[in-house]
Amino acid sequence: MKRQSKTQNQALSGWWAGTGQGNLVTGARRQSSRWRDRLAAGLCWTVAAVLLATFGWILADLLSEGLGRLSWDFFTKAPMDAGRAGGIGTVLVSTLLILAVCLLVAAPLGIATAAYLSEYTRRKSSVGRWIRGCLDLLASVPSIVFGLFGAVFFCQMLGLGFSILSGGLTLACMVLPILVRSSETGFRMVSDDLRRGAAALGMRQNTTMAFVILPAALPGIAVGLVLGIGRALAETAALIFTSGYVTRMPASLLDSGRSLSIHIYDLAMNVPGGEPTASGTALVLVVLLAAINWGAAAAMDRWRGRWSRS
Amino acid sequence: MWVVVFLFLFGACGGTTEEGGASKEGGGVSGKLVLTGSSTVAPLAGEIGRRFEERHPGVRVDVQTGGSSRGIADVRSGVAGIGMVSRWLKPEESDLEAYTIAMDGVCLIVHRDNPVARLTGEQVIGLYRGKIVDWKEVGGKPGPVTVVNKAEGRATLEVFLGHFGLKSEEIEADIIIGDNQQGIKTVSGNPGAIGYVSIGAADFEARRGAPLRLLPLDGVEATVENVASGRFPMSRPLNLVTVGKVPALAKKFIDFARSKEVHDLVRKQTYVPYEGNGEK
Amino acid sequence: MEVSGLQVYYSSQQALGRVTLPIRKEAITALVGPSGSGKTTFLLCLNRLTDLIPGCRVEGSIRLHGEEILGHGCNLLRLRRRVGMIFQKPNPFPFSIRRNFTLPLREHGMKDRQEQEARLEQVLRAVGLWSEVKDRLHRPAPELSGGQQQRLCIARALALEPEVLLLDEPCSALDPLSSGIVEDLITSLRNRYTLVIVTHNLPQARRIADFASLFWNVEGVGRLVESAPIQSFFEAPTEKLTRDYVAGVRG
Repeated sequence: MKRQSKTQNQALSGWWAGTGQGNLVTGARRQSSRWRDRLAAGLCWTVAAVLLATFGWILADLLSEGLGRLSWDFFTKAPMDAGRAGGIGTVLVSTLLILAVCLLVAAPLGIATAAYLSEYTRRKSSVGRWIRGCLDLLASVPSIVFGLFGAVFFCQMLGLGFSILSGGLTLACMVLPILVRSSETGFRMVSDDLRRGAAALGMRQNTTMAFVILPAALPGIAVGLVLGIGRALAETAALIFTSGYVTRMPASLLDSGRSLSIHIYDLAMNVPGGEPTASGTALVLVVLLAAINWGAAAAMDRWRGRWSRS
Repeated sequence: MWVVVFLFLFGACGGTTEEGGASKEGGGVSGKLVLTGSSTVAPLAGEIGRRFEERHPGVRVDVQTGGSSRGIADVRSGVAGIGMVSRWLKPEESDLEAYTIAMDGVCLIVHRDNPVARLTGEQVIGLYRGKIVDWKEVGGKPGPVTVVNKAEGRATLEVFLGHFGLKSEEIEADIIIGDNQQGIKTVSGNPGAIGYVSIGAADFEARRGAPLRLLPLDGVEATVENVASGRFPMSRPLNLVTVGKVPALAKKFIDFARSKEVHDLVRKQTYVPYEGNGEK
Repeated sequence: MEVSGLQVYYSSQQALGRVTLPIRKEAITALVGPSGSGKTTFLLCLNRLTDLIPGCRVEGSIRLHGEEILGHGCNLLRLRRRVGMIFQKPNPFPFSIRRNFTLPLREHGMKDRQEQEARLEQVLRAVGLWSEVKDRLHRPAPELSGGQQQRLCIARALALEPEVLLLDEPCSALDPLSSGIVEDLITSLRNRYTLVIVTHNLPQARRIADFASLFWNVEGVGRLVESAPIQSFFEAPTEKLTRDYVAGVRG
């Protein structure tokens, strides 16, 4: 921003110099623009500070309320006394299983759709526009609607009942739009030089896709995955009627299993005296999200290094 | 395709027990029992379920939630073997059998700093109909009233409406909330608010230091003891409901949930244990 | 290669008008002219990379050894193996130097590792890169300098044993030293390959080319003004436009 206003100033001073009274006016102009720069910078800092403070506040709140609950047993034991005692081990396992189902279904489907949209359709083609329109619509549907859909379709029509599988599949429907849209951006970010270069070498579109474009688009896809995981982990409404409320250790994907977010919600809303565990669980969720974010970034760095060397 | 793969991989190692099925082998019971319904009953039912599983190792009790209405719908459709309903049954629900496992009083709560000590029935109706908008009209400090109401379909709402003879559409609420804890948090954070929640939960939170006051109703103090003795006028049962012929497993669970063996669990969830006088 | 009556449209806008140009085998043909005169468009037609441009339509005839390459019957993968292309900006794939070669080779049916390695060494030697990179074939290609990258791209195209090599201003993104090296490399390829090079650099065209063609933008449409052997193109052009252009008066 600074640089831009500087060049603007130079252009202006050049123009004014021609009129013979340049110096004075340019001086005033420069001063006011510098002041505006400072104001803008100040505003940016304020916004950033407010954001950080909000996050800090939430974190501090969670820490003060929930840190006391954290222990080895908290991570390994099943909840007792409606969650006020015991741990969240089984809930953690259920959550990870739900997430795994969700990603195993949504990721291949989402990436394939994104690849189709970006590589095999023209940007303004009617098919592409239609798919994108549907995805945008889907992205704005409230999650409770996905929950009710999942309860009817997966739990009842497909007979999966309250199960981790139902929950994961419902979540997959929900994160699909996010995944497709950011993967598509990832694909579009890949330089056309690579596509043209590959075509000029007589490489088939599918080979180019698999060995050149896909690896190059992986960072964008990873962003989509992380966003999708974030949304999936934060979800309650879509899961309460699908993966359910049971806190027993799941023996299979057809068992019902409570997710971390539902556990937090239930303890905060339904269980008197549930706040410490709710905060402790929220703390675990925040750390889990941070770890996934960080892990994805690290994995991308390593991938880029390894892939470019292979 | 992935779904199929998963079903193959994981279907084999679980989910083979039939819902609600019961087999008598050596006098024990086995199978899987699904409960859905009231989010108020769910934590309690979950605890009872766990104890029941301990007594009967072949049994799995899966408790789901979603609200009383859903409990009724699920038990009617057969999705659940037992529904959980935290209110009296209505006349149009006569196809269901209700078994009370605990009682829960519902009382009005205000902020601790609100000097109003009691409200008459007319005053409560006036507040909730939006006729009374300032606390000075009922003898409190001048200031606007924030009316906290429960969301449609919540059992507490129906208990409240039934007691005061109000209709849902008459109520002019400022804030609509879902669960008890949310009501408690809303009122403890707002000195001008009035709401109604489960006595057990309010009493528990007030003891832990939440700035709340439980208002008496018709001269009866809002205490767990008064709910237990049946003197407190606004209370509701926490029911398990079934439809049609009840399988042996469900029957056994209901009997267990109404027995003395679970009284400690009921008390821990801040409710009043069933002493044998409720719905059958 | 025989190009006749070539016309190119982008959507409904004509970009190239009726170009007829024989391209001499195993010689260097330079395409010169100001920006927007259709040189690159012409070049893209020769291996049908125009197919990648949405809304682009090509009419006329291009024959490679008498075989028509415009039209549906043409095997594009085979065509692009026979007619390679080098771009202005070096575009190595962002993986290792070795994989830059093995991937396209495998695509064209060479699966044997030893064969691939032999070809790799052969073409890297041909572009004078072997001694510079033989110890770091596993390193990412984008680590190389601009000039090395461009030579790698040329080697990559040569690995497919093409007959024709299209070069779109291959030196303009390079520093003078690298530019000189690449230019020498192109000259050395003259007797074995048919080369078509687009360049803005007239002295370069004069140094390396056997034939030169001047393209000009006439009312929004690129047209071929004059095509001649290099000597007469520079010393005795028939068109006034060519005369002015080579004299630096116009363009």
